[in-house]
Amino acid sequence: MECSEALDFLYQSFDAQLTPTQQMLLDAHRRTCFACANTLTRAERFQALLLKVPQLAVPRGLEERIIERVFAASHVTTKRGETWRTFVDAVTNWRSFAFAAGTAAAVLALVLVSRNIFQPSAMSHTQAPPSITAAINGSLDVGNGNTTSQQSGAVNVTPGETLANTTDQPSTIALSQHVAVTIAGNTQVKIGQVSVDPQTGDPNIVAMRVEHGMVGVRESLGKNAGAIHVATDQATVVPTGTIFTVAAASGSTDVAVGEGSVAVFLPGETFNVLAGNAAHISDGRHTVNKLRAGTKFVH
Amino acid sequence: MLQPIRSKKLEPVSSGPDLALMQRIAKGDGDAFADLVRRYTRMLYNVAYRYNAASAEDLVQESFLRAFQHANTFSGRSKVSSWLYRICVNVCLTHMGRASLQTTDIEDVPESELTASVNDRPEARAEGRETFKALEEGLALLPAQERMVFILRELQGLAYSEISDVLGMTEQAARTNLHRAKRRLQSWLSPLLTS
Repeated sequence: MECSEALDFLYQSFDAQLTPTQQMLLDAHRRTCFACANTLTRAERFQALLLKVPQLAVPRGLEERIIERVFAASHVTTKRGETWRTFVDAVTNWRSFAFAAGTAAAVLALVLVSRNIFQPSAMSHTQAPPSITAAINGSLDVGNGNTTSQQSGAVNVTPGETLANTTDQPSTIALSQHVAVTIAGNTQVKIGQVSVDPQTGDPNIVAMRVEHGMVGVRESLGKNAGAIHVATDQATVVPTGTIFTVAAASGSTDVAVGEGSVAVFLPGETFNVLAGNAAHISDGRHTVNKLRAGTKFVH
Repeated sequence: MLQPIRSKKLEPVSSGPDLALMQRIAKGDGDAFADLVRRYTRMLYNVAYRYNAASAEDLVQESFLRAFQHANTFSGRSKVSSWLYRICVNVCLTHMGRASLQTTDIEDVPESELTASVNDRPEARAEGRETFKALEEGLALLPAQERMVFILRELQGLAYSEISDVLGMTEQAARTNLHRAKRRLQSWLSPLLTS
């Protein structure tokens, strides 16, 4: 085998397109050609690097800007008239809420936003049902403001509901086959926007707010994978095929990433945290450092 | 030994529901178009950003505008995702021509300059975000066709058959372009891959 052929063979092997004979030829060449061995090693490192390239999160508001621009250019309105405008406003308000600093502002925003985004009518233009079916491993207190009940197994999760783990043991809730959230002990989260694919019933987007405590998220990319957005008072975290944790404390948020990467949205700023790193966010500023050895993820 | 490439495809729906969606859009259904945007913005944004980061948002907006205006030409013979990819690729290439960008072919960059530009960077570049940044810089120097094949195959996880459909080239031509792109990028990133 010529050296020039070896690299092409290696590229083909990444696509699983080598015959056993070609693989043997490549392996044999590699054992005997030291010059080639280095090139092939670099090629493998390059391929490994490509597997780690994260999928980018969509910039905030881009979808709404696209729709507004196209509708404006085409003089199109939705069947429900102003419903689309209401939806855009609701999303905008929700994001403002997520980024608002300070407890008072967050509480006020919660009241305003809940009137829009937590009302089924705000989502009606998608005709999506206002809840998703999830599965709890362990037990969680599910509350809707009026009643709270301890639940496990299959449950319906509805916007506006709180999920609280009042025990010391973590419980996991699978929101879809692609997204599982482990809620650590003494943690409470609130479900925000839920958008469901009307054809498949799978969630497209699940927004979750960590009111206190810590959650661990395992999100795998897949053909029908939806997105999960995890918000605190300080930041909104959007993953791309990731294992990460978000811990909310008074005045600060910590994000640790075990696999993949997450995009973190702060007011006026967006940054990525790659696997093996942790971000600390406080007073609108952030620092990113390497994860300490032995960091545990709660998934 | 590395495993075969894992799909990173961000393609959330099958062709059946998508075809019905496109038929609604062709009749001017704004709600259906909003659904299309929510399903595919992330997919197109990833392509446009890797192709031209500075103009990515404009490129995605232009792609969806064309998709809306030409929804009635969607025949259902290909997947909606392929159709959207094709529109986005055309928008990217048209944008590049309109802007008369004088891109530098990576093979035209002297090797000494190419190596120095990476070596001179701090040690920290060897990992994480900085490595991805160096990859993006190398990607921007590739010839347009190789760049697009690389993006679709390695970063979006499309099959060669789909790349062939999107770019209007044979599968073998797609493979050849991909291998050339990888050789050049591997050379560009060589200092970072040696350690």
